[in-house]
Amino acid sequence: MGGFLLRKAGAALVVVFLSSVVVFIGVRALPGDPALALGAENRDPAVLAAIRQAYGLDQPLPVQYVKWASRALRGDLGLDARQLPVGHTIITRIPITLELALLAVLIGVVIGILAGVIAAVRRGKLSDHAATTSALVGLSVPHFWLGLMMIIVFAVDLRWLPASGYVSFHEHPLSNLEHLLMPALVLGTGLSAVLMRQTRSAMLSSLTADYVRTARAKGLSERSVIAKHALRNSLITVTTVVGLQLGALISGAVITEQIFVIPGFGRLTLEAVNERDYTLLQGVVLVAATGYVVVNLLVDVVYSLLNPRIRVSGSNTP
Amino acid sequence: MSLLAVDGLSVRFDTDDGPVHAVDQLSFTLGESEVLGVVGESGCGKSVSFMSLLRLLPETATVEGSATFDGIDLLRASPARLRAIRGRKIAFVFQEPMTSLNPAFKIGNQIGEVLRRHLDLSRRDARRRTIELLELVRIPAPDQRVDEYPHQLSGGMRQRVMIAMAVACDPKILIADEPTTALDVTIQAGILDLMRDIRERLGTAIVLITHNLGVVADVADRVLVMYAGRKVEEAPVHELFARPQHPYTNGLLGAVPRPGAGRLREIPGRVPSLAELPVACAFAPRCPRADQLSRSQVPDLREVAPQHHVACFHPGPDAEAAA
Repeated sequence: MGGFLLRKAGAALVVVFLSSVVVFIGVRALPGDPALALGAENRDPAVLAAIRQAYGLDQPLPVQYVKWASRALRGDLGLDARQLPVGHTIITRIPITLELALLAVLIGVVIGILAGVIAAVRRGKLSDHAATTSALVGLSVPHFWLGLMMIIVFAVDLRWLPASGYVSFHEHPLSNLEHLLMPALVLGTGLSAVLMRQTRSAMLSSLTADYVRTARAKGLSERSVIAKHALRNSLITVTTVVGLQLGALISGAVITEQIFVIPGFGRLTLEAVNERDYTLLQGVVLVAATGYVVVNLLVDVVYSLLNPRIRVSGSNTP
Repeated sequence: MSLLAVDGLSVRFDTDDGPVHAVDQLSFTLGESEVLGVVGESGCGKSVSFMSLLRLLPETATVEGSATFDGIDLLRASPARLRAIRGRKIAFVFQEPMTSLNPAFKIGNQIGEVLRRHLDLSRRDARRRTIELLELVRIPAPDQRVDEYPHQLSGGMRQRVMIAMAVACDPKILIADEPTTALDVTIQAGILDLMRDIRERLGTAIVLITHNLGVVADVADRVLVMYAGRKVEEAPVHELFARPQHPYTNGLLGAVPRPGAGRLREIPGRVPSLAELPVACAFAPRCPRADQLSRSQVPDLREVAPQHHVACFHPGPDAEAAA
């Protein structure tokens, strides 16, 4: 298990390094001169030159990268256009998005897996068709439309939930949940639809497996046959899908936070792009990429816990 | 008084291509501590018959007839009542030890589960008993193996684990469906030895489903020969080997390799499709003795010697084999 983790962590480090290079080059490949953006109205060449020097933009790219990367390693992501430390800004925004994402994953996993299991067990019956159809709808509906519809119904018409904004958990836990419920539902819908379909097909194949017949022949209750023997094996594939979907969740958060005016990490990303604040953008994308890699590492760990064959014969996995 | 009495068992599968009559009017009994060998080619309905007794078949199967065990008709018992019998009174060992164990759980968990379900043992007692069971099925270092996953065991060991699981609650009947088919020949002997041992030590009645007559000769008391979903012959093992009556049984015996017996004889033709119920002897198209009668009527079972039944219009040992 230790060796397996070490290998995975090593691979993750390589990915983080490569993505930092891509982020760095990518931001510089964007059209527009960052110095112009920083200088705002001021187009005086002397001022622009001073800005370039202050930000190290006059140095060759590799030098710029090494400087930026070595500072980033120490947790210093530089100053943004408003002269605020990027690291600090990101750290204050991340918990908001993390909470949103956590709620969304919770909603997606609970609804998706439950619906998938029910659909598989009651294959071909009404509940199966209902679940399959709603999953198709859930997958096809865009986030922004669903978000707007929910605002119209639950906030404007019914007045059950606030339409937008954010209240932190420390301030008012209930209000915090009220503000995040709709965004989390919007964000979790796609995930639950994907998970429902994956769970259903995985369950359909494990329900006809020989070991499920063995479990029945042992005299176990149908609940234990399904919830223990069939589901456990289905979760192996489902976990992989959750991992893959987390990337979609990050991009989904950008849109969702915009719709519900939540000052989270996703909204920060959009702000950085709109204001062409390249230090901020660089920091945001690096953190997002690292987060993605870390989450996938965690998924690998969960996967190996669920699937003992991976754990022991770890040499089979890259 | 027999332990299990099956009467008029029929199993039909409804498939997209129409119904398939996998088992047709099968009747037999099983006595206490008896070893019944059930032989026939693949697809003759051996496995299906016995899985249908515990209602382990998919929903597409329709089962008719009756199967009386302990005063209960298994085919009509409530699901809860049936679950109390499955694994406790009647246990199964399946053909494929590779896929019949759940890959996600330790074998100790999988055996312990039966004990906790039926005998209400605590986790700790179940574990202790599991180690004893692994010892009973002769798995070396049972206290370590108990914490291993199926993929860490060889095929023979997995089948031993399946047997340990099956005998965990000291069942009255052990149904072993081709328990040695997927295993190496050297491992096979060990498994058969183990089954004999279990019968002697625990008094378990065993149904041994196989296509291997050598296996039957080795352990069975009585043999039931099936062809195309029907019983064609039934006799005590020595009687069957000494005086096979049905041409199909003769054919099976002719296909068993024996030193000095010359070339193996195969049974010509193929197993018939089971789409329609037969109007004639199902074996007639492959049978050297078939005549007008066999092609127009289904032969009934009749007793040709004490306890020896055969469904054939022209029973008797093969002339060649007798010579």
